[in-house]
Amino acid sequence: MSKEEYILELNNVTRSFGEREEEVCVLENIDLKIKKGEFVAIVGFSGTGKSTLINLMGGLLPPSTGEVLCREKPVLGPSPDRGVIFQNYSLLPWLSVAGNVGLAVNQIYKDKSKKERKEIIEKYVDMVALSPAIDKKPKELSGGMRQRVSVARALSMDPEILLMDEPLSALDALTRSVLQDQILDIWKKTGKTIVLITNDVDEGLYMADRIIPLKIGPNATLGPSFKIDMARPRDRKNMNNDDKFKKLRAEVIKFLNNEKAKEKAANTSSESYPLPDIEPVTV
Amino acid sequence: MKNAIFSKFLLLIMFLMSVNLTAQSVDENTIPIDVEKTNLHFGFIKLTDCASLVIAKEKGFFEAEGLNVKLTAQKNWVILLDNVIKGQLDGAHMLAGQPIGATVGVSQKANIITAFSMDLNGNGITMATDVWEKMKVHVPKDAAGKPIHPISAKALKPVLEEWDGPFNMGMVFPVSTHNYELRYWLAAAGIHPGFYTASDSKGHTAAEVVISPNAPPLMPSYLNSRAILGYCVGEPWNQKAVFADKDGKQLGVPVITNYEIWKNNPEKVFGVTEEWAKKYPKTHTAVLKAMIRAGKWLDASMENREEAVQILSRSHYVGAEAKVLRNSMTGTFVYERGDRREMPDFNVFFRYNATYPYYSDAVWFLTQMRRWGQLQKDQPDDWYDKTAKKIYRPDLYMQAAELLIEEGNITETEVPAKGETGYKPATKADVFIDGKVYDGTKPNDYIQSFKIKSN
Amino acid sequence: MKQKLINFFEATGLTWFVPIIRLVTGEEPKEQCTEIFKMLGYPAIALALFFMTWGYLSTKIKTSVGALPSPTYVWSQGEAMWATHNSETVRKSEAGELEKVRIKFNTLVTERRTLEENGKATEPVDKKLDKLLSETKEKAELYTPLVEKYATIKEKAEKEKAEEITAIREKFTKAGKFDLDDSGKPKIDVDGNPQLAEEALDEINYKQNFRVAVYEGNLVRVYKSIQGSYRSLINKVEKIEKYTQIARELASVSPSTGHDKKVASNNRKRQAFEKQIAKPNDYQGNGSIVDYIKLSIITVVFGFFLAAFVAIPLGIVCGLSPAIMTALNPLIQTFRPVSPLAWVLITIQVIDGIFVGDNALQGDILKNTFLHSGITVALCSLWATLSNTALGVSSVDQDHLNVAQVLKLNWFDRIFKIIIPSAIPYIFTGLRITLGVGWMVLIVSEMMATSRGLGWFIDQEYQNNKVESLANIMVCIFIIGIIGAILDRIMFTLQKLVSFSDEVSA
Repeated sequence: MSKEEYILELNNVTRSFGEREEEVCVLENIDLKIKKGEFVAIVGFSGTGKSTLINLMGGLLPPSTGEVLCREKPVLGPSPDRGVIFQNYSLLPWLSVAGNVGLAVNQIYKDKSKKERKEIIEKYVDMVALSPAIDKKPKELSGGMRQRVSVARALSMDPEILLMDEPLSALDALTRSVLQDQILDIWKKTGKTIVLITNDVDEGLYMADRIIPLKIGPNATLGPSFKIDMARPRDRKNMNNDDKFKKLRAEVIKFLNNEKAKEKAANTSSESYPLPDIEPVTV
Repeated sequence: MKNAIFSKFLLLIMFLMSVNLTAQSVDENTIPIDVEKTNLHFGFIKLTDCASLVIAKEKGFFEAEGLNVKLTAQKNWVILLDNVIKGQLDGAHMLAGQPIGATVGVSQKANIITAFSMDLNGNGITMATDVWEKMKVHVPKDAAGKPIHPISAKALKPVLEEWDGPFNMGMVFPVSTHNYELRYWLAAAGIHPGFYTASDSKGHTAAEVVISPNAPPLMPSYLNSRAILGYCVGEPWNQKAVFADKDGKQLGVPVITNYEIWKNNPEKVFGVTEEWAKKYPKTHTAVLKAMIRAGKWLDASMENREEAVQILSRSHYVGAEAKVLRNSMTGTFVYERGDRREMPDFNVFFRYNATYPYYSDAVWFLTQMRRWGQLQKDQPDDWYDKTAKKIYRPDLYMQAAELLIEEGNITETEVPAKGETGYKPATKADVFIDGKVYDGTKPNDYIQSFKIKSN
Repeated sequence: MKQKLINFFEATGLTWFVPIIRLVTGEEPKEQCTEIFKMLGYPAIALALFFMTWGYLSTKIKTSVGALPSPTYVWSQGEAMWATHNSETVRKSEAGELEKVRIKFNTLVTERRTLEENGKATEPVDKKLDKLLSETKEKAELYTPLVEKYATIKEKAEKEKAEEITAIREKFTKAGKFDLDDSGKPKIDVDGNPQLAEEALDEINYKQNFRVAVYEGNLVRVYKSIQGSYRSLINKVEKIEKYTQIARELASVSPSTGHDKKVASNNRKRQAFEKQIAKPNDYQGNGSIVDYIKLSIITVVFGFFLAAFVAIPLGIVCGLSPAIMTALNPLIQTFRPVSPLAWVLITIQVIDGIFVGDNALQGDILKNTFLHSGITVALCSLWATLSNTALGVSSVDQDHLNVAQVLKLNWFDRIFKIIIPSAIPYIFTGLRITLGVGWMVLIVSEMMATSRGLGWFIDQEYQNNKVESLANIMVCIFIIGIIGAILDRIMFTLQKLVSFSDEVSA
């Protein structure tokens, strides 16, 4: 396997917040190598630093130590190469669906004409099946629709990697499965590399090529990588009866539960979730 | 009875109307002046002595001169003078002391001149009713038991001696006639009204009665709230105190008019800036012509006075009720309820050369400014003469008057003769309440004759 | 249509219209009636109680100028103000007509001058002038019957009122109701007559206070003064004609001693009159309540936009930079609580210092005094918008900033595409407060600055010092309140439109 195939690499990455004595290390010794076109899921409990990981990959946060490489080049900040889909959609409420997608399109395709840009916007809105709602404002949309707008916005930048931070966790089960299939569909069509962060093991197993558990923080690090060696398209209904799947699921859950038990045993009273040290400005 | 008087007025109004309908326009004989500026804006304060301005507008005297005049009531004398200085107003109804004070730098500093004196007399001193009741004991009475006028402030002296706490009185403005008249009246009875000094711009130094400026229309309200116990102000605000009730009695009692303090004293003037007068000399003459005619009209008959009362009572002019205005404008004056006295010269707009700006009047104000310490340096007699001649401009007045004589709108006898020096002869003993002799050409002698005076 | 109306009323917060619409369209009539009763009936009861209390108090409370005006009297004064507005409208249109006539005269006179100077015949113009003169004379005389007509109405109303008052007086006199002093003798009034008892005087004053035939009375004055102006103009033109005639006669006689002098003097007079009618006359009406309201609204809108113009950019800068915020905070905290009474004095001096003498602003609306009150409004009201903008900008959702980061928006786009739009609800909340505060301080600034809006009018009325002016002030209080409420409704609607959520406090 030649080196070039790794599109995203995290080498011995550590990230901590706060200063001096109050310093809390959220992520430690993260090593991750992702191949082009791969669909990787990272699972973990809430508060284990999953979002921090996405932010490191997206370039929204610099690592404290270690390096994040994208195609062998250090990541110095966000880039259109790496589209991020946030947990809470992060749509701009004053813009319509077209406006939200357009914000990205206008930024990436600066030299295209207005008409061409409009076509691009329509293309991506259509890709997430939102054409009828293209002029609606976020507050008029349901949660699933909002997340689809977020996906369309990320896709419209035509990134090589899509970084998804628990994109479906706020949705009901039905919408969730529909969107899962939609994302898989898009992945298949576009051949993008996808990193999916989730707290749902089933979701990871159903969608990804590999599933990696994240140990419990602070000082969280990645567990072993489980390869999901199952044919696609996977059948949601029958998967639960699939022995291979059942085994894999049991292993991942066991790993996570062990982690949980360890944490309890250690009884580290470190409940202090690292908050950024920002003073609110009063006017 | 009241209703009888009222119906008389109705008849009068009807009569006036019928006269008016057939009246010829006032500009029959006007010799035209090629005015530089037609649209003019003058200011006034809500007092009956703004009448010449209002009448000149309402009776068409301004129009006859080709002037289109707007009159706006000003909030107070400071704002009024400010607006004239800053050019917001072309000219205004002013306190006689204002152009003088402005020129010698006692108040806002500016070169204001006046070529027209708007009226004589017209002020009164009103005391709160309870104060008056205490004073009344010390006032000599006639056979019918009515107080003998003029009432000297000597009656106030015993009241003051027993008075608990400060005795506050209101006047209109630091350089207004009211201030000087009130001080004159008090000082004539040996009551010390306070000096102005370099460090006391309020004029309260050594005061037995503390005198402060207030807005004229608000004086009755302040009297009601007992912020002041008396005031000296122009009409209609003395008569207002007679009509207003407090505890079933009249709110205040006018005790003396300024006519009784100084017979035929100058009161308000029409002031413009010196620059304005230089820039628009013809307009100024035209304005003066119209105002002289308005003054003459006001003094021509009681019918005219009644009409003036109706006009002035409109809310954008003086705005007080007609019955209040009428009381002082139509030749009588009410002291106490039921004590209405004939006062034909209470408001003089034209007679006795009222409109002519005498140097001796200006000098009198200067002597009072010196007396009360607003002017702190002694000056030779000729300084008084020079200063008066800078501010008072009978020359401009005479230009207008001569045109009016030529037109036939006034006669030669109605204005001073050509050789007029501008100085009235020395006063006789019955002119001032304290019997002092005032000769405008000898201001220093006059100042020296006072017992109470600033160093 | 129905849903649209309902949406409109809900958007503007006028929700009490909604059940009415539902009722009209026949939707659950019973429920709608209960709803209407709740929404309209309760306030109606409160209003009724308010007016009853007021009416009762007006019979009990004595002010320094007389009895407290009753609701009916205040209402009648409101009507009188409206009548005055109508008569002022007549005055304005009549003055406009007069000005047109003056221009016509001036055109003809100038034309004749030009002809004369070029040595041409002037007869056609002479004829036109003659015709115009006689027409104008006729026109001027048309006012006489009008004046008579309205004077008659006015006199009749005055007479009736006087008779009613006399009747009341006689009634009490007969009943022997006098105000007695301690010794049991009647007190004497201003004119030395026995003074009637207080209840009698109250009744008389109550009657006396009501103005009658206000509109007709005003019209009499308007028509008389316009007629006077016409006559004045006619007189001037006649004089021009006279001196023109003399000039022609003088031109035809052979020169003798003093001839030149006569010609010159005659020509001077003629020219002076010609110049007088050549100059435009500004309309100088006394104004009416509608003019005051207009100016007040224009002033507050001006002050509001000025405040927004200053506060929004400054607020954005403060919100973006904690350093600038910290730097400006002491100043903001110091100036925010300052009363308009203090600001206006500074504003007056500064503005009058800039626009002084011939540079003084003399526009119809744009006067120095307008700037005094407008700027004072802005100075007092901008703080709410400033702090809200700063808060809005500084508390932009981190998610939105992340989006900007991921998209790599540049500084400009980040501010204008993300930060400012996301602060807009805050800004509008601030603007709503600003307009409310602005309207409140406007009245007092107008009083101080003597800008001829409602505040000025109230101050003038206060200075008039009579019961009538007290009633006029009360009318103004209602007007001010209603306009303030309407302005707030408008801002509420805007606020709702730009809000991202549905929660806006009414």
